[in-house]
Amino acid sequence: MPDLATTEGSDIAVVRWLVGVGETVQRGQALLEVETDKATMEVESVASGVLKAIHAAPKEKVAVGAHIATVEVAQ
Amino acid sequence: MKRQGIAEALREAIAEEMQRDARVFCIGEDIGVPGGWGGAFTVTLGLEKLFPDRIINTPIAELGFFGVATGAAMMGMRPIADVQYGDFLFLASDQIINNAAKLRYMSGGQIKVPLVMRAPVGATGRGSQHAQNMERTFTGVPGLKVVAPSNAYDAKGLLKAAVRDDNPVMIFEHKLLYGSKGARAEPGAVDATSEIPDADYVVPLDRAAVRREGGRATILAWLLMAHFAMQAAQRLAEEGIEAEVIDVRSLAPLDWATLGASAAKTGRVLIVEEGPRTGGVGAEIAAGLVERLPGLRIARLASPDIPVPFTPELENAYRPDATRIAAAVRRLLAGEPGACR
Amino acid sequence: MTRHDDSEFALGLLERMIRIREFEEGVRFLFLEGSMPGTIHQCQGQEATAVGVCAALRPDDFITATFRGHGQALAKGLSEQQLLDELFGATTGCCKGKGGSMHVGDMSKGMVPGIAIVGGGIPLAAGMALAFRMQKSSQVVACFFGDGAVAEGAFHEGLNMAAIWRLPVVFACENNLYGASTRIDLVMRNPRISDRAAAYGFAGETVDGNDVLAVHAAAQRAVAKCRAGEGPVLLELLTYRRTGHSRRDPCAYQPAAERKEWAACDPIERLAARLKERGAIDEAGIAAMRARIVQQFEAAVARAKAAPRPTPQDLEADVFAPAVAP
Repeated sequence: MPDLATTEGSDIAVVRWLVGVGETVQRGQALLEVETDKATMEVESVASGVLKAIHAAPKEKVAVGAHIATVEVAQ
Repeated sequence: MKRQGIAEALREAIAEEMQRDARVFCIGEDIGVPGGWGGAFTVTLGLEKLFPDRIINTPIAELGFFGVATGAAMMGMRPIADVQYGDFLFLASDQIINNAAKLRYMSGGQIKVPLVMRAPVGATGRGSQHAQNMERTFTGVPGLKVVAPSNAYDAKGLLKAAVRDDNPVMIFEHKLLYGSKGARAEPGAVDATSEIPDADYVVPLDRAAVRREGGRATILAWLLMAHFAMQAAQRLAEEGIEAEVIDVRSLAPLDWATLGASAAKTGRVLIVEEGPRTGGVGAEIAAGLVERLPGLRIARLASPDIPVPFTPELENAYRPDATRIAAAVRRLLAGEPGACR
Repeated sequence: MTRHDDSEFALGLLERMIRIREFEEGVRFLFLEGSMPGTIHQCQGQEATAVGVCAALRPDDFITATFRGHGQALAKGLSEQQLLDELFGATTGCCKGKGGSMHVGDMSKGMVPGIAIVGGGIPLAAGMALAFRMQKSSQVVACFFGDGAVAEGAFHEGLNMAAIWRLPVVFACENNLYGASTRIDLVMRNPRISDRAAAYGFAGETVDGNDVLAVHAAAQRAVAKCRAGEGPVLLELLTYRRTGHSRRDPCAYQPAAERKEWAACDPIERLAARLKERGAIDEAGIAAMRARIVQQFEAAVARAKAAPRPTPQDLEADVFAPAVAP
């Protein structure tokens, strides 16, 4: 979870996943929607590959730096 | 040797530094107008004739011209910026605090800001916006050096040291101390004149000065209060109480060695300040001394936490005087706790 | 005077703009990845202003910039390496890790570390120009600030003093229509910023800030005026920010239609189209240029991630300049 909240240290809520597990995703493609204390925004994937697993459910509040998704990068 | 008041001594200091180094220049309001005043307190009077290109008269724009001075200092010039009244420094705060004091650090040491700033302080019957002592606002700024000369010898030497230092230095001068019992000296029987040597000299920026030695109590003061402290010490001596008077002179950094040595000797310290008590420079001095010497007895005598009043009776009630300083020392010696009034 | 028929020159401008774009995009992902500390204020979409103005300057001219200064830094000649090292907080960063993203700069390359107080760099720039004039130097200062700074008192005071003393400053206002999230028409009744120069008695010009050749031409004229002692000049460069105010900003206050309109005037696309039309470069050439830049960037990131960090021993260094023998 990237550091997107205005209030330092506040958790960020996952709104919904925009890519399904097993689907391919490109670097820069919107991966999920989150809600911070300031706004709702999309978070892009930092890697291209297959979305292997997600580790945070919609409505779940997550700390900055928490591991929320795993993308398997093609070699 | 010649006897001079602070204004004259500063004028010579500025002229000598400008003569010595072509990078030195003055910038401020009403400072270089032919037929004018030489600034609000005559300090730069006539310098525009000697250095026509280096006395820069500005619009009424303190934020702007302190920023201009900072920018010029970054590029190798050595400006002396002055405000007519210290109260106007607040307009320039962003450039002083966020730029001049921080540029060296946040650039990782790439930049130096050899900027001298001069500001008159003290209550002189002009009402609360032209009467403040705001040393405390600037002593708490990391990256800024702050000095406050109480006499002509120190004023000249500190100004020269400040010009030659490669860092931003704020010099607080007191409006009642400029004169040599001449036109601008108001009643108070305070003499800030000194014998000034002909040869070049500097006064180090980071040292306090012991004005009077004594063993019973230490009085720490600066600017006008340093003079009142000496008067109080005189009266106390007549009662058999020998007080040590130290002119704090360097407000940032504080000369802990000198202040601490005196405090260790006497065990009783009175800090006298013309500005309001809460959060003053005295608060820092008190905390710092007690940290170094637990068991020390400290008291502060300062103005109350109010804007400066106008009426002379109120102004005299506002600002500490020799009578109250002496009374505070007696209470300190009697072991009476708490704040002094 | 104009080198705009010189394709090599124009290709150089294109490369510089692409370098800024790829730097900002790459840094954006480093931030998302969580490996970069602090925050960032980026300039995607505004590349032509920094590149066009800086291309009109000599290496010994100076610029002042704002908290949104990565583009200016690259355009003025700082390297990706010294910037990335600084963004990662390394001691090899341009400010030894003491400044961070909002204060990047390198005095040896003529860039003052960014001034992050809106408008705060304007009086500084005037002061630097005053020094140049007093030193009888032909150097000039380009002072970058945004439309938001126009409301600050420092803008008024700095421009006024530069005007009365005829200081060699090119005031380069990047008008991207928003001061943080507030649209310009809400904060000025006359939104034509260049008009203000006349109030102070000097020349102002509004320029298409997404046309790097137009920006360069205007900057060249302004710089020449300044060197001739006829300064200052105010250039209003119309552009658009295609990224958040800071990384935590999804720009919900920018209407979708407006974003789309400005995307169609992207400065890089426009110059690329002109150069392709001229036959100076083709799509494959641009792709190769971009790939080379991205590769250099990624190599610099790897070095920056491994670069030495400051220790507590470094904390109090460089507050004061050393004592001088009196």
